[in-house]
Amino acid sequence: MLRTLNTLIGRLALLQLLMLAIMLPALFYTLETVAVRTAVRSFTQHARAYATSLARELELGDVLDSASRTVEILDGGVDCDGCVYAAVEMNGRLIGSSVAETPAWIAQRGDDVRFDRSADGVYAVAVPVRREGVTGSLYLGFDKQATLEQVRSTRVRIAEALAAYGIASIAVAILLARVVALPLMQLRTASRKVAQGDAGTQLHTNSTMVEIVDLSRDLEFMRNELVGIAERLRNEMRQRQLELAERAALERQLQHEQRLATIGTFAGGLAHEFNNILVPLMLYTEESLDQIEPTHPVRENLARILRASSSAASLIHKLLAFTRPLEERQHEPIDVAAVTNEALDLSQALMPANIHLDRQVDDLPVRVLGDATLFSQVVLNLCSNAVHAMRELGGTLSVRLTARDARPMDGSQDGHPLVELRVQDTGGGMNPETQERIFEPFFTTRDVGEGSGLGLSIVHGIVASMGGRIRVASTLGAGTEFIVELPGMAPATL
Amino acid sequence: MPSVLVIDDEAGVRDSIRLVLGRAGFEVNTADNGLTGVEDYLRQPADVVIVDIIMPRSNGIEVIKRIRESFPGARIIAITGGGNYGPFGYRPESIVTDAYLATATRSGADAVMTKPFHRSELIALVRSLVRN
Repeated sequence: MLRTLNTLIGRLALLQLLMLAIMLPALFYTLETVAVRTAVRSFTQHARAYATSLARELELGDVLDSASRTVEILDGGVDCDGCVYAAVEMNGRLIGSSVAETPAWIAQRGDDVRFDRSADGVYAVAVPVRREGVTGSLYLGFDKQATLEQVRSTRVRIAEALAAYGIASIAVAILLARVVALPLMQLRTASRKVAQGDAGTQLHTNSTMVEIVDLSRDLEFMRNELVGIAERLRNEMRQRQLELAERAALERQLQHEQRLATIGTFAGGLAHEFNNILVPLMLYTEESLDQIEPTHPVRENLARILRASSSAASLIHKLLAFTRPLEERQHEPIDVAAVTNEALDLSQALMPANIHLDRQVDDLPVRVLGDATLFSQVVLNLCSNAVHAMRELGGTLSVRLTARDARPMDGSQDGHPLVELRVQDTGGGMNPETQERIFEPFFTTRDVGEGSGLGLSIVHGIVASMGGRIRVASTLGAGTEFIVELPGMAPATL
Repeated sequence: MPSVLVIDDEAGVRDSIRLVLGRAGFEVNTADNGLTGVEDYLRQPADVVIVDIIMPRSNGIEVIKRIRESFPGARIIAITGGGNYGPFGYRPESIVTDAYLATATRSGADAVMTKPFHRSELIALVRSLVRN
């Protein structure tokens, strides 16, 4: 109920009702007063004029001297215009009309003066009648019923007219409210849709009312602005999230690099110590071999010690490759496509039959600064790992070499091309923990004796020495992809 | 008898070289650091000096330079185990064997050897230097 009253239609109807409640009684009172007064005045004036003219008629000649003529005139008076009785009092004698009964109270009552004085439905009028210096009175009684009836019916008509006016005005108010409210409701429906996320809904109405049209135009303008702002905000947020993700990835990469650098440092220190230990080990062993008889039973053991020492020396040499710095090797512009193809030819020759090589090596116009032998080792190592991952079930080894423009975000210089080598296998893939540690020296998932765990750390070292970086993407059960990015030389520097 | 001075902070390296070269017919003296090594050499110059590059206090490069200053004709072999102990202390960015040896050559070593090395290599190198 309260909700209905709070609507535009409810408010306007209520306002109209309040206005009618004040206006209608006032109107009714005014109209009724005017109508009643007019009717009453007309009635009384007519009654008095009639009485006066009858009195004049009685005063003519010697009418009053003759009772029969007086009665005749009185009878004539009673006959018309609602006159219910007529009587003349002259010198204390009362003569009444013969056609109407003359009430006994006629003389006492005299003149009613006011229309509404009596309640018996008769309006009594008394006018003086003069005859030769003697003044008498003519008493006339008029029936008020017709006039009262007229007044009553006038009242009813006024009331009816005012009621009709009231109803019509309320109807008009409701209609008006609807005309105003309908476009507003259209706007509300549209704006709700917008609020619920359907930002494309136009805030439009069919109304031709200037204010509503202006309002809808303003709202539509505002919607467009808001949609624009929301779109911009969404875009900015998306951009921001991308940037954050990219930064997080870079930070992870950096942490990873730092950890590898730490391990490299550690490995370098360890290598130094080992080499120092190996010197006496090898020299004493060789010295002993030199001294003992060729047939001495210990000789074979000493030879074994020497072989083991040599293996250790070779392993340490590999480990040091991981810590190989940029300035150590001679870097020259190398044709990565040619080197990759050579390495793949070699790899393919050693590949089991159940592995298919899918080679897409672009003939790149760009060169990369580095050491061709070392880069060849990168390709061979990655391929050998991929082949190892697919050795049992077979699969496809995809090698792709492409060049693209470097993005400013990835650390390489603007405008320099980026050479990308992707080596992908369809093997078993690896879990995130393994991916995290894959470039660490001595980290291996292979069985003892199957690998040193140095291959990928050497690859990492070589790629880093060329100013590039290496990433791994892997899905368990789907395969692994190594992505090597190397900064290409700008064509101008070739 | 040709004499050899071995300067290395590692006792195992010093002793094993002393044994090998001693048995090969050389008179071998040793020093466990660069400072005493240079002093020893200046007091009694040996025919061949074998000096480790990475040593605490006075490193091999300095030793080579100081000996060269006084004895431009001294015969010097630089040896190193590589790793990231630089000629001027610990180098986290990890300079490795080849770089040490290149530095040693530049600073005046006649020959360089990476640790570990074979007995035969050692004897052959020392002999060739003594002959020249």
